[in-house]
Amino acid sequence: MKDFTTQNRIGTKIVRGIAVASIWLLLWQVAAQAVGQELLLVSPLTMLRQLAQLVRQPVFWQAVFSSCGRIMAGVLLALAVGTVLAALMSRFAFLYAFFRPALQVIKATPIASFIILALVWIKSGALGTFAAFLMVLPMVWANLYEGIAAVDQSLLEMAKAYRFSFGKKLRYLYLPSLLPYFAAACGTGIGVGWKAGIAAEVLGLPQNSIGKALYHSKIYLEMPDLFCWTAVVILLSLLFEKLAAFLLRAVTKRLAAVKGAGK
Amino acid sequence: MIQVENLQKSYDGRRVLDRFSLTLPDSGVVCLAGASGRGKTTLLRLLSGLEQPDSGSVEGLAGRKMAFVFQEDRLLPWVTAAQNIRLAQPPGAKRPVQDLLALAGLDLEGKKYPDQLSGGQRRRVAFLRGIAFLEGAADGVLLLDEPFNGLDADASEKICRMIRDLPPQTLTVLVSHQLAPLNGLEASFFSMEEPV
Repeated sequence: MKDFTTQNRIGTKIVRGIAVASIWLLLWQVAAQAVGQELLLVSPLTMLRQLAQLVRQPVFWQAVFSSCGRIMAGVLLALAVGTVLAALMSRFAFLYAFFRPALQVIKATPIASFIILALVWIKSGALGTFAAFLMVLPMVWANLYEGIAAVDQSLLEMAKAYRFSFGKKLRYLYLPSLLPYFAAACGTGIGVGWKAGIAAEVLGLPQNSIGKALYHSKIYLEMPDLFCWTAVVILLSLLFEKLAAFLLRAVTKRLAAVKGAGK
Repeated sequence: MIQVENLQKSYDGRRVLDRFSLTLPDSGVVCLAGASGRGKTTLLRLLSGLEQPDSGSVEGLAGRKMAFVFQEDRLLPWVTAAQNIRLAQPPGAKRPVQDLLALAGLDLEGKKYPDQLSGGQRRRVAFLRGIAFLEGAADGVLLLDEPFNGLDADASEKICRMIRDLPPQTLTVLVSHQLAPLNGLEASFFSMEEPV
């Protein structure tokens, strides 16, 4: 009965999602027909036709894989560094005092300023990674720092009373407590990482990149290409967000299993 | 003997224990009785070493393994009842968690998560965690803060039976407003009624 209800709920969600997407596509198609100029507003049908042509070209996949690699490397690096920073800054007050202003400055500075500055120092191929890293880092740090502060003190005291080892505390107390904060950081971080990474590629124009393809679409007024590449970026960002959510759910389940329990 | 001498403890300027002294036996069951606000929980926390007194000393507990069953259950919400107990067991513990659960009348609840248990069931799991932690310790110390809260007479009786079955060198110090369940135990009573 429970499985049936769950399946029913998932089915309803999928149908609703398809219905909403169809309505938006229809509105877009109507608007494009009303404008009547593909140079100003490309219709979804034109975009899909163009996308069907693009995916047949090896250069499309080279750009997709290269940009994915660069941007996701930056996001993953930010997740790792942000997590370590949050842990260290929660533990050592002087590190908090030292790093907090820097992270706040990064958060407040326009990404374009960093990218233009970085163009002097960094090869264009690494710009996407750098931009994604820089934009996602403060986000991860802020989320996890807040999460560490919110770990239940009474459970920490329990862990102390029952002499939980560091590993046990990390696995059964900190990680489950921090997972929602980490998931939130991943969810927003991946989206922001893609935006920043693509912006950096548009400015840095590295070989085989979505950013360069977008730039060329703009220069040559290839509006269908511009819409296609934008759609590809949105889809990739969503794909990685869903993948991260799936992996985090799997980790949560794995964490819940205690070897030998229930004997 | 365990000597508690001239303990003083204040929180935010409010004195909870003032030159409190007490002698406890090395083993057996000791019940600390007294109205709320007399510092019973504070005394347990000082005995456990989770907190340090402002002044005074506790002697005779060094090297003894201590399990603290807190007034709140403090169970990890993301693991099952059995897993909560298993996590407190010392490495190489032999006693199956299922046996412990059966002793407390929780045979069928091991795979449930804390939020799927009643208040009384959670209380028993918290108690079992303390018992599991002391496995293998001949002269362990079991500190129980209101262990009978939310328990019916049958469940309280099961808890008392498990306290009775602890190794003879074990010292159990408990704070409880409910004294009726203790009838079946040979317990020493210490009053903390004196205002501080």
